[in-house]
Amino acid sequence: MAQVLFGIDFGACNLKCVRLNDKKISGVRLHTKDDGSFHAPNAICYSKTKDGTIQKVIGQAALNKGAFEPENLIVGLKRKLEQRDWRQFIPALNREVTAPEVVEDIFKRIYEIAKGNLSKGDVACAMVTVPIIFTKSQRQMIAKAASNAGFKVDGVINEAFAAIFSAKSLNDSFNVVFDFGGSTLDVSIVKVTGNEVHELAAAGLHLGGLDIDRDILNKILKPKYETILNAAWDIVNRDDFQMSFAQSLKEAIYADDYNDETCAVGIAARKDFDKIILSRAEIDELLEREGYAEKINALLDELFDALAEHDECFDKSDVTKVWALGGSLRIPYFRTLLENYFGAELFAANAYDFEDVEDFLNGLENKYLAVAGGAANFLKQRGQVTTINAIPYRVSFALGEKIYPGLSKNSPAGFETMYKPLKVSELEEEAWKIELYQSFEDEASFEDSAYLASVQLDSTLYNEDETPLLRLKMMRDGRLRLRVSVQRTIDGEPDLILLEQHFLRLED
Amino acid sequence: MKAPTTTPFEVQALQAEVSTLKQTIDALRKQITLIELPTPTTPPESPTPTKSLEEYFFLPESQIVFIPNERTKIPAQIKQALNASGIEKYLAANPSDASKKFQKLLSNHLRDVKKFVDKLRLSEPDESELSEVITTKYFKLFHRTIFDNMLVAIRRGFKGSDKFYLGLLAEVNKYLSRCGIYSVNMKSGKQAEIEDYENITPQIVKTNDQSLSETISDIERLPYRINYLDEFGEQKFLQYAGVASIYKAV
Repeated sequence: MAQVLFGIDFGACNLKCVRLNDKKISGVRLHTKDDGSFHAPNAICYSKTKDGTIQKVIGQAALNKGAFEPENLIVGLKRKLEQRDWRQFIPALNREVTAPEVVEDIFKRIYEIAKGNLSKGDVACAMVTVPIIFTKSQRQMIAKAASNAGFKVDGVINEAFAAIFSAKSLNDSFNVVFDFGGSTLDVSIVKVTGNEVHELAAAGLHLGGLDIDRDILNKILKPKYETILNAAWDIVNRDDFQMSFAQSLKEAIYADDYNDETCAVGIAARKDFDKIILSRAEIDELLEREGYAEKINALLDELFDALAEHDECFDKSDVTKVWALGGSLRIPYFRTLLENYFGAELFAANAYDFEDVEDFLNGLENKYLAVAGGAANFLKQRGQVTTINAIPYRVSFALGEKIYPGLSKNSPAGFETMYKPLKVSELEEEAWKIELYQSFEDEASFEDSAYLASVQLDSTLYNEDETPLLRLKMMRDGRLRLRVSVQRTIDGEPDLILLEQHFLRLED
Repeated sequence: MKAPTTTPFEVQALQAEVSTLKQTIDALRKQITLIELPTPTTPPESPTPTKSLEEYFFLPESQIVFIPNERTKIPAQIKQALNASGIEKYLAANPSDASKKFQKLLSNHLRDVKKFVDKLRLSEPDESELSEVITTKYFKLFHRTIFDNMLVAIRRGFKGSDKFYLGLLAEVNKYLSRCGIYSVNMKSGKQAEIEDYENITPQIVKTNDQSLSETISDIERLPYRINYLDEFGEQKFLQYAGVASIYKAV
């Protein structure tokens, strides 16, 4: 019985899967009808045939079929996973589906395709990658979905961290992995010394290709062509399809073999044949105006500021390699941004040079398979290398419509937040439940945060006329834990009285 | 001595094998016919109304793996794509503005093929991966120039000056067959099934007639395929999706 290792990159826009056995590594073609590429759109369409059976179609075919039954199509699943309890009614199934269920259906299809070349008795072991921003519960959910689909799941790791392992060999180096994908921007700073791979710092933004598509649609295309666009997609979930259209225009204009500065597409939406034109200059101007560069530079500065406080006092000059990954880096604007940040010499010499990754992946779409390939190789090398990572996400809590800032996961043990007064009436409205969210922003919003867990308070402990105080504290007693406590003040008494406390284990 | 016995299961298996081989022979015969057709220098008759437009584009399935895993055989196979003399002669014999545009498209394509042949590095992939790696790159040479541009232009041109386009299509079809490429058989007027959505990129045509919902109204370009051997030696195909208009009831 042989073990065949799979690295699965569950991307916001595209699914990618790489297979690694004793002899070699190869991409898994996820299209049923092979179009020659190794990625498939992360989409699923539940379709009912005439005889009543349900067909679950993934990838491009799902998008194609979904154009005719948009109510049965699910796209952008990665962001739906970050919501507390996302559900969608699927008419073909005549019921609601949940995010874990849909993820499992997608993994089942990947497994069916992946196992196609396994011999009898072979075990398909998988390492799945997710964005840094994914919480422990989301990671567990992804692992469970892949496991239920048939894979023997050996772990779930960060996308940017996985990419490091796509190099044929790990040499002593100081790496910045900049993974700018469809849904998130993940940056990891990884130091390799001997057989130790240390993720010194990592951070992520909810910023990706989908945001660029949305901005292209709303801020370039709609002001110019709204009537045509609305005539072309006169359907319920018009936005999804218009977004896909904006995405396809963007991809066309930045395709490797496309050299023109503009892209024109004809649309037969009305009686006349209308033309929609998008130019690279318009996109560059949009990115500048919308502050993409500012956000990315701030993120990089924040990471290097954190490193300056490290025992070894690292800074930008220590960087020996910049890994520029993810589909959004096809846009030259972002490559120039990195070149400016790290210096032309370092960036030009290393960042887009994938020689060692190419060697490892046999030249297969190397830039886009580095994460999945790295995950498979990490699985192979596990035990031979020591990995250490410390991801500085922030835990915040929500009450009603607002998220309140909490504390960084990397806060020193014993660090505790300020007291946050709670209104009993508000707690009643929320059924005495406090929701915790994970984010990388100091000022968190629901849009930028991923649901982490809920804490159920005991309503019998509280009086109507009091204002209890909530506090978060970082605990490090063997495992990394978060303490959520509620305390009471008594008039004239200097000390607080602990009403209740709850502990939450965090990913370490 | 006892005669060897054959179980019903074995008979069934043999019958299936014979049937598959017959299909393969038929497909090969059709290809040979296409390749051996003399090059017409004058346009043939207009399409007969009984034959649907997509039937003129249809190229029968091939069982041949055009680019094998043997390093020595690959250059000669790929060089066949440099020979588009049938199309060139036809366009030269039928000069017009349209001919000029097609000549330009063809010369762009042949330039890409030439570049590919010159840069071909066969030493890199393992021999077991040669067919897959080289076929993937080779097939891409046809995507934009031939499938997206030339065939779609012919399809649209068919509506006007049929004779010229029909002759040109026959030449392009012969060229594609010689290059190891075949098409999927699709027909307009039929209800699109799940498999069709894997083969084509749909273009929505709105209709008030509910009975027409998801019926293929027109095929702009058929899906095209080429066979290859995967790393395990199994025959598979690469596909370039077609484009079809499909009714959506509103």
